[in-house]
Amino acid sequence: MTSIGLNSGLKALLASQATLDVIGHNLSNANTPGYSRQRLELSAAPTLHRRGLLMGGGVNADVITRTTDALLQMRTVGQISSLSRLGASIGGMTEVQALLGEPGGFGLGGGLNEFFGAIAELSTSTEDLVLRTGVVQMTTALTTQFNQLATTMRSLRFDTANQVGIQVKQVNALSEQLVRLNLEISQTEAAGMPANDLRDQRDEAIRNLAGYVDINYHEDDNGVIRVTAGGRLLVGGNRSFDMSASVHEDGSVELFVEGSPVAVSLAQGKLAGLISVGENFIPGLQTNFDELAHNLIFEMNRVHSTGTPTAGHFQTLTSTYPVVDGDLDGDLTDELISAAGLPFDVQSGEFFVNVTRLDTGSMATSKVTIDIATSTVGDVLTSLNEISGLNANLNSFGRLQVFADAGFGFDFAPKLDPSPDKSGSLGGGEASLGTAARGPYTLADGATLDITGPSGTFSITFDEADFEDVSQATADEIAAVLNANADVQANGLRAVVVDDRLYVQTAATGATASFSVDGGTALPALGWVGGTTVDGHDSAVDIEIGGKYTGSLNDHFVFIPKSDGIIGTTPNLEVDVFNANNQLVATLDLGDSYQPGTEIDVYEGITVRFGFGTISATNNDSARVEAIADSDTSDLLAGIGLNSLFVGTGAADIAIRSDLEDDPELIAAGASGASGDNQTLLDMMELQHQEIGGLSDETFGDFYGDLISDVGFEISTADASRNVEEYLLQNLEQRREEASGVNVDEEMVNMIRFEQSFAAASRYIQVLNDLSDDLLSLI
Amino acid sequence: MNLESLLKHLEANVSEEIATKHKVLLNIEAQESSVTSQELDSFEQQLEEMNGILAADTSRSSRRARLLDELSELWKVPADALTLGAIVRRLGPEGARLEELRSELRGVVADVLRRNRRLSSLIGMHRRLNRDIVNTVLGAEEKDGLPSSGALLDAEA
Repeated sequence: MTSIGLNSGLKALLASQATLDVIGHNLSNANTPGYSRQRLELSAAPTLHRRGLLMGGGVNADVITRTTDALLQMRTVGQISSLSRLGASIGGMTEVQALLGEPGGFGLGGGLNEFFGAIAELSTSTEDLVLRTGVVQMTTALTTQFNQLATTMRSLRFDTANQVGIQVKQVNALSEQLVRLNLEISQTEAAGMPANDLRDQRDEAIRNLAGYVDINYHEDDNGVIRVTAGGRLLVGGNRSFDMSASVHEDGSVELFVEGSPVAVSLAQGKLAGLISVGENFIPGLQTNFDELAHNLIFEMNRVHSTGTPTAGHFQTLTSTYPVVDGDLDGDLTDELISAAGLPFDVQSGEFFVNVTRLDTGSMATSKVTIDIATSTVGDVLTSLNEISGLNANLNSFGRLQVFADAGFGFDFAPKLDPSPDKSGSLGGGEASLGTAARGPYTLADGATLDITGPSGTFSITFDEADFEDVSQATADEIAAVLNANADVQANGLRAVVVDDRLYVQTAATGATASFSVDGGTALPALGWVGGTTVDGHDSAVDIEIGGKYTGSLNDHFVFIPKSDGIIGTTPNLEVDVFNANNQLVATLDLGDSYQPGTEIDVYEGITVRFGFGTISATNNDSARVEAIADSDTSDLLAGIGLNSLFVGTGAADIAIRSDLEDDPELIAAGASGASGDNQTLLDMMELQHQEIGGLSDETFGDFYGDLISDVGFEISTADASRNVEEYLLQNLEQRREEASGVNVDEEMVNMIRFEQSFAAASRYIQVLNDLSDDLLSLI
Repeated sequence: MNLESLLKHLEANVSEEIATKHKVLLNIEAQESSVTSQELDSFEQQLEEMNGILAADTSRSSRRARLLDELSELWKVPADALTLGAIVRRLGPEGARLEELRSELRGVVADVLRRNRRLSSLIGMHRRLNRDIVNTVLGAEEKDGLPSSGALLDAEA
């Protein structure tokens, strides 16, 4: 045989040996992750010239190539990123869900129910100290749950941020691995050798990296890939750029890539999933729990602040929330209420303060009006200090302190004043003359009023300087001028205001008490006639208000006699009752058929008893009764935290007021503190089923329920997305396996087919050999 | 059949044999290529073609044997003494064409034998490697599961 023949045969043998080696390599790596099937590329060897003949050169084993699909790899990489993000998100969210303890009744829902349950129990026996202690315990348990949730969520957020930090290290390790593989691949291929296994390793590293961050990559002509994440270069030609995580105080985390001060924003990958949990999911829940706690504090405090403790009144109260010096001028009193740094919204409205004489039990109700646009902290202090028996100031921490004079107590409850006619403007013993109309009155600067009192005749001149607008003089302004006048004082007279009407009265009572209005230019404006003499009475009419106001809005009722007469004596003596809108709501028959002291129904649950005495329509007698449904429509008490149940502003710091914890008797059960008065507790219980404006008109329970179901829904939605993404990835992996993977079964079937073919070929070779031998013997 | 007619038939038979052997050579080359590049489908196709070629050989050999028998009877010599070389020598100048064919046939048959041996070696080697891989993958208990049939020639090339 010639050398050419030998060479061709050797080449064929080497080629087939190499082919089988490749098959063996494929089979060995059938289970190697990311391995791409390899094949030997064969080609005919160049033809050789020998002695004028063209002779075939056999077969050359050229190169071993990988069977890969770059597009499939790229799509797989993207899919891995999506799936990893969802996996990380679901992992984080599931951890939070487990923390919530729902369903199962171990969560806040159970705490809320037990809290309201304890209040309900106390409402059945308001004086029971055990039940009061139960309310304290359940309130403390609830606030502790809120606090623990807030603390654990914060910890979870930091844990998530720390996980980000750990995974960033993995990203950097993979980037470095890619740089090393880039170098090895470019060196190997530059030497003319295929770098199939290195490329497989690099593909696998890319897929691993895609699990952490969403990447884009591009391969250059030298076989080097460059990888970017979030628009930043992670892997350059021959170096990697480190990613770093910056964790902030609130647990938020930002990612940076070496060389750029601008944070990277990732959309996919585990890091994006973790960041999404830490930046959106957990803070969203924190906000919701804070909202729930904030509204629970405010709404419960709104009710509790207008209730009274078992004692029925307070001697002193200090607000939970301090006012702050918003304008930094060193003066807290000039701060508008709306800018005083209170954690809850205060609005225009009014709140009522009841001051009770402890020895007599007599109570005076005062109203403090808040105009949110103009009222300052100082205005509130002034209004409180003007109330007889009450004092108010700001302590060194900026907290409002309210305290009663010795022998007095105070509260903010919606009580009916049982003796509303303190001034005696309706049948009192004083000589009393009122204006027929409510103010304001059209006075002129220098207008005069001539009066004759016990000490003689005098004239009062009105100065416009004493009025904001003298042509619109209010009853209060006129009363202030009269009360400041020395002659008025010297004559034992005084001016009072009832229902915006001006009354001039004697200080003394009884039939001998008398004064007359003689004249003056102010008379027409006040509706009085010159020469009118007014006398007092020996028997003052005792007016006693009873019942319970059932109206839903604050109102007042004004009692005005229709004629002059003696209660229970004068036939057809009637008193009209008007509400705040000046609508007639009742006419009371106090004529000869009325037995003085008998209780009469007035309106909306209010009753009245009139004692014996004289009332006068001529002298414009009237008395006003405040009917209070909500004794703090301004929400100032809850806003500043006076007589609150809760302190704090959100889930992290909600707590029961410390002095309530020490003394459960301070829990407000009702408006009066009397045995059986459970209205405050009932109002608190009603809050459980009330739609709360601050909670998107949901009840506490519904808001919490929605919050829990939202968590479940978010997890199940993400899980459904993950299932889809997983299916898509499996599909892509399957296609990649079809294109690049090693199918052992298929390879084995081929091997066995080869074996059978080899056997057949061997038989043919034998036959052919025999036939050829026969032919040679014939030749 | 007279001598001239017998001669024509014999020349045709040898020509046919030469053509068949060229086909065999091409087939062997194709088999080598298929085995080397592990193209199984192509290999199986070559084997089928070889099967067809060898099947046609029987009738051609029978026809040739009958022609030699008739010549033997015509020339009164034992049939087993009638090689193509002996026939050419007897024919003298009239056997020139047959001599050319005899020479060509000898060359091509020699080629067939040589390539056949090389193919035999190639297949033998592949078969051993193939078995090693199959046995490695299938494991010891299935080691003997492969069919064992056919025989291989000793490689002489």
